[in-house]
Amino acid sequence: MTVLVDCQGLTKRFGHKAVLQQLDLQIRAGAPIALVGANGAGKTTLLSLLCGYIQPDHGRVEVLGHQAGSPALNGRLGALPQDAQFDPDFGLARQLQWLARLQGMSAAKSRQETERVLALVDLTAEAGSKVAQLSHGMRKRLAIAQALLGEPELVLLDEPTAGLDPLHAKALRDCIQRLSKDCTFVISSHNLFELEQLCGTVLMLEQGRIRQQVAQVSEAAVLRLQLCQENYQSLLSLLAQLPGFVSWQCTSPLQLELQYDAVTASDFDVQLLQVLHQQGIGYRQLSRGQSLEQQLFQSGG
Amino acid sequence: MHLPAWSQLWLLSQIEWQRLFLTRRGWLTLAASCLLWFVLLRYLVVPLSQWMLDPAILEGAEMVAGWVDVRQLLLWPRPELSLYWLLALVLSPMAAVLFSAGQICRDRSRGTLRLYCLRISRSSLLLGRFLGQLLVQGTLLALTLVASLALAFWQGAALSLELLSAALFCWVFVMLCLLPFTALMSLMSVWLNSSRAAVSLAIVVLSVLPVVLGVLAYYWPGVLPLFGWLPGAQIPALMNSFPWQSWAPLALPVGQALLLLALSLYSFERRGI
Repeated sequence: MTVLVDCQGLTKRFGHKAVLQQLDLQIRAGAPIALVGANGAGKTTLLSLLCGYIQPDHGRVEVLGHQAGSPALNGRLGALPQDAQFDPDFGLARQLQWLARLQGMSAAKSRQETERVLALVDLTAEAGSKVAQLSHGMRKRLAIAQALLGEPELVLLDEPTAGLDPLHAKALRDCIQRLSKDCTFVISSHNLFELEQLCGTVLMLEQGRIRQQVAQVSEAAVLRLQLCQENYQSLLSLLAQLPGFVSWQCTSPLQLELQYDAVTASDFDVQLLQVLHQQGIGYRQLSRGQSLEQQLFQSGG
Repeated sequence: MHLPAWSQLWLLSQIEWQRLFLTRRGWLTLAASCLLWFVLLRYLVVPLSQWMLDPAILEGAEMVAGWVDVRQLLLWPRPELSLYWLLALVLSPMAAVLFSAGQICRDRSRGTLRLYCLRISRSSLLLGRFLGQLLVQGTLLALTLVASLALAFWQGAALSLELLSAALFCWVFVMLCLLPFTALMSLMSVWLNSSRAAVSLAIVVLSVLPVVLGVLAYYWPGVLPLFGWLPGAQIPALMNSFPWQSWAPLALPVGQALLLLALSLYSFERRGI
């Protein structure tokens, strides 16, 4: 797979504080990649370095085979920078068209692209409005729209759903899933649920380094069962009788994590559903594998 | 799929120009300029030009306030234009400092620069904004110049090539004089984070530099020629010129503008956005 991002020995300091320290990172084309970490872990700094907004103190940053910030990346790299706002005095469509024109599109193509990206973020009806008239969430969607102008090969999104209502957050996730066939997304977010749904790989930044890299592969030996009621004692005795059952763990008042032997009981999930149905026990969700939160924070890594 | 550099500069300068006519901030700039020039033309240029049209004035024509040689002004085809020339030379640099202070800093504090810098180089952005400011100031200057010409016709001037040539001279020479002030504001705008701070620092630089040089010249007279290198140093000499007399004093503002732009580009390339 093509290497989209290649960072070697990347160090960035702000005053005496080293935000990134000798960070090595390679991102390849493919499924969306999540960037997680505590506040101040260096996520936004890393994305700013990749966009060329700031320069590293040491190390090398290459994006799509070029030095970060190179004009050769025009149109190939899209980004949603944190807190970037459009000019409030001009209309949405007008500003998107300017950006598209600067990206190298013809006037007709820029109008067409503007309509396309505004439709993607459900802002077509507001195309003629001034940015000052938009709500915070709408401004965020507009900033996402500009990141999708043209056909970027790599899109960096810093907190894309922060401030969005649940409906538009879901619409954005669907949009990313749809577009990720043609381009690679790198998403920085604190929303692990969202990242779990979207991303194939999760990079965890801690103290300026990649502390952990988690590949989101389906773990067949673990099931997570979310129930409707806390009264599940009768269920546990039945589960113990199922072939392949290994152990259970209560991870929250309504959630059980069940381990089983995937070799001897590949249809454990089917059997479990049958038991739930027979006993009339309601459940909200059944999913495979550990949650991203558990993988990141309970692995002892 | 890349836009040629000159097209990027043209598009960016057009954006700045549209800001003058399509935004509230632009309308305020237009309104303030129109109001100021209306007051100046109505209450200063009209009475003074009528006084200068009196042939008897030639007898007593001399230096006014030690700066302006009235005899030179009388060589202009119309007094309205010569008075406009004086006022524009004094006021336009101040307007340039005030109106072009937000070239970079306003968009940087809002984060808009980050959206542009994904698509164009920083040098294109800075030069495009600089050209845009010149386009805006050129438009404002042209509007006020047309008002002065209208005043001249109203006071009995006949349309002549000489008059139009003098008007063109006014526009070209004042614009050239504005170059270093607009470039200085590019630099201030790169260094600082708000228009207000940029204006304040520009005022400090423009007023403190002559004082510092004066003190230095008191002790080391050898630094005296440096006064001639300050932004606007050629303006007193230009005040006493008549149309198309000499291009020589304009080498200084052009050189200063190039130097300040080079410094702005250097600083902008190194600053985080």
